[in-house]
Amino acid sequence: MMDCKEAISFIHEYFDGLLDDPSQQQLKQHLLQCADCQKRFNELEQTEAFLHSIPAPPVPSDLTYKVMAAIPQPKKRTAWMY
Amino acid sequence: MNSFETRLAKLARDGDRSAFAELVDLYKDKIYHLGYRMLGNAHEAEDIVQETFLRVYRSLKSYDPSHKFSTWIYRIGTNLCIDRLRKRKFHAFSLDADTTEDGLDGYSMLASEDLTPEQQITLSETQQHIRQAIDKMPEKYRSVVVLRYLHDLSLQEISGILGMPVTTVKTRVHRGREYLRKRLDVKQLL
Repeated sequence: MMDCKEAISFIHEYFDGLLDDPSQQQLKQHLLQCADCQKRFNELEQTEAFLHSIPAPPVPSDLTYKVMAAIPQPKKRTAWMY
Repeated sequence: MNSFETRLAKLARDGDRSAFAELVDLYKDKIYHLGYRMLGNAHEAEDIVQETFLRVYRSLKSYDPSHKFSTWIYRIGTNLCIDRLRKRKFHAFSLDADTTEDGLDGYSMLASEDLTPEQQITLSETQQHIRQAIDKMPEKYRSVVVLRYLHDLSLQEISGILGMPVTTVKTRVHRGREYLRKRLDVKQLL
């Protein structure tokens, strides 16, 4: 039977997307029997959802222009005419 | 690796300005978001974009095309953000260690207030709560959380960006996640 310490590390592996099926089953068994770990799992699941819901800040529209204006101009090559 | 971006980088290295402008267009939003989330305000996010591209431009000659361009530019941008956070911390301790009871120095207070009224309206209470929690995170967790969740990067790619083993990145993601779980006080927000 899995202990809580192992379960917590499995929970994180699960959220990393790295927990294989047999281990997920083992974790599920533990969560069914352990209210503390189940609570932690639910809270982390909610935290993940919140993190994914943060909207991207608006980017200033003239940013490319500003960046390019600050990039040094290439040295003009002298066109040698013969 | 011979991706589209690597080809653009080679062209830019050989003096093609329009190729460089294309790289700027491809990455400006990503680097702006990185700066915004790492430093917490629009002004510094813009500075980070400027500094990152200037540094990319100057280092094009040393860019190794066998590495992903995205890893390279994220590494430059992340390091610039981390430098600023460290300087902030140093200033806060050495100059104006005027700490509020929340453990916040003047700089981080400033950082989380820098929103236009329009932006404030569009952020829900929950989202503001998360933003503040991220703003208060220790730097070593903040960089992995920002790269992982706000940029959807894999643990491998973050390991390349931060120059640390995947196992270290994993540990930091786990701790960052736990930090936010406690901080967000999930029940209150439901």
